[in-house]
Amino acid sequence: MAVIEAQGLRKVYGRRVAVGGLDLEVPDGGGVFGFLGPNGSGKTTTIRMLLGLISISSGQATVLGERPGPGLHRVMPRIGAIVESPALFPAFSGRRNLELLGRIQGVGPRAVDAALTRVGLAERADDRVAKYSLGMKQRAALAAALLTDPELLILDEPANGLDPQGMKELRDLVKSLGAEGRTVLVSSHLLAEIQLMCDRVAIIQGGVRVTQGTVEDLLAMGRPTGLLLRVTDALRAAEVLESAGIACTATGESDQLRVDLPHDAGARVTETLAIHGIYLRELLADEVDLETVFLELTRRGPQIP
Amino acid sequence: MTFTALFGSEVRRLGARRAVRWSLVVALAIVMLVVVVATLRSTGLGVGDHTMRLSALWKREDGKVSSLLLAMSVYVFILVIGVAATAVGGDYRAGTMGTILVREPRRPRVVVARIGAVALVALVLCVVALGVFVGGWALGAAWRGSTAQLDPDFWTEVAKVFGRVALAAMTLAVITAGLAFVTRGTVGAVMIWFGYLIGIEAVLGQRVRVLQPGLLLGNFIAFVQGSDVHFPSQPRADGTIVERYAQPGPGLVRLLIIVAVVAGLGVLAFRRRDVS
Repeated sequence: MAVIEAQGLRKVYGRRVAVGGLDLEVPDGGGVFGFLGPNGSGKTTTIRMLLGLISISSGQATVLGERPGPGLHRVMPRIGAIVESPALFPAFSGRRNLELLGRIQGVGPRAVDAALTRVGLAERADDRVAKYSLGMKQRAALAAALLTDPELLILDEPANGLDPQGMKELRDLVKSLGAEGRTVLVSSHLLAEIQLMCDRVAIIQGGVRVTQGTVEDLLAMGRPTGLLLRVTDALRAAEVLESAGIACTATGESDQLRVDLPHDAGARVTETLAIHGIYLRELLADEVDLETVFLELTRRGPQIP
Repeated sequence: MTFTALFGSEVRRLGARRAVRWSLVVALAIVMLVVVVATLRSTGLGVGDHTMRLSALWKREDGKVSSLLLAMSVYVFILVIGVAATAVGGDYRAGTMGTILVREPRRPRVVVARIGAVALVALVLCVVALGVFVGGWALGAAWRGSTAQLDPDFWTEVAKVFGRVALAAMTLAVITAGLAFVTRGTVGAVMIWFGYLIGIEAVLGQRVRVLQPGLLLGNFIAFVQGSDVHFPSQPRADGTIVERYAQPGPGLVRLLIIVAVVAGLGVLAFRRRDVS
């Protein structure tokens, strides 16, 4: 059972195709789902279509089993969403904003206090939103999304404009929300953040899905992991390793080599070199990250998952 | 979620907006200024012509009605138009329309709740501002002016005028809010008002006088003042002039039809359009 499903979802503005036939499946069962794509790839447009804010040109979608549109009201209390930027009423305090929004959803002051506390905004809750920093606005918007204790959270670029501390707090919060059994869809172009907080990801480009899967699966699609070693005489070290049947390549730095072995093969490499009187100055795991995979995939174009 | 909850939230939010509060402050400032100046200038009966007469609020002489209450309501109408336009346009500008829609996706409900809230705020603005005016004027007239020469049905007529003005303010608010939903902005709604008043009422109405009794302004005035508004034609070749009228009863009906049409256009526009 998927909480969000889209087949051939398409949005066209005049001649411009914003989303060009997107297939997406966000599985049920909790966890954090990353929705990745470069700026302008159609992430926000897709989310707007899913939430019924903009019309769907063609294709189909369901959110918690309901199609975007008026029927969505049946499941809206189970959904919390932030779309693009935290749009709250600037002249009101954070608390007042949440009280007014909560009133629409039938939740009272207790839920407002709980949401404000959850996002760490309780102390500044009575300040006007216009005086909030962007990070505080993001947190206030997240608190608003959490008012009904939703089972599905849709967060569009929630880390935008946050400083490193704010990003870490957001990451911890999102991970904890996912760990509680909620499904959290997080769209972003901040790949390191997504890698740290998400269990599964979908990558889109040009309004089309490039790939989708678990973070581990996607990382496995990149180049194999290896070891980076730094020695005084890289040429001699390469000869020794080759003669021992260990493939290695130069990295471009004069004293560095890359060995195509798993991370746990460090002992074999150091032993081989040490026997020949070559001692390592540095040994690092050469890990492939989501950014590398993302850049590779988006350069190649859509893949069959 | 219930419509009542949505409507309640809209009313509270609108009531807390600075535009609404400032409009109320401006309206009260205007009416109090008028009352205070009139009270201070009042020289008492028989001395000069500055006497502050209670009868100025509503008086019928030779079948014609003059009413200071009606004159003051013009300020309130202008403020109501401003409040109604910003009540919708402000959300488009701030991007908060989507914030509402991700909680209540049934758009017609959102439009109806917003328009209803705007009408209610217009009513309150009108009642408070003109209530202070009538009360202040009555006190000033009793203190330094005259409470004489009142028609037997003076207070009844004042109450009727008050009620008509309040209803008229609500209709203006609904029309303006509907226009703001169509134009998706404050300025657009106000510009349509200006465009209509200049282009249709002033220019077209003067050129094609037969249209005048059917236009908004004539019917609005006829309803608010509770008496016919005359629209004489241009003299014909034989020198005759045809009198046409906008009348209070039909005027209200036409006004309500216009309200329904514009509000309906607002609902249609909001239902179909993307909200970004």
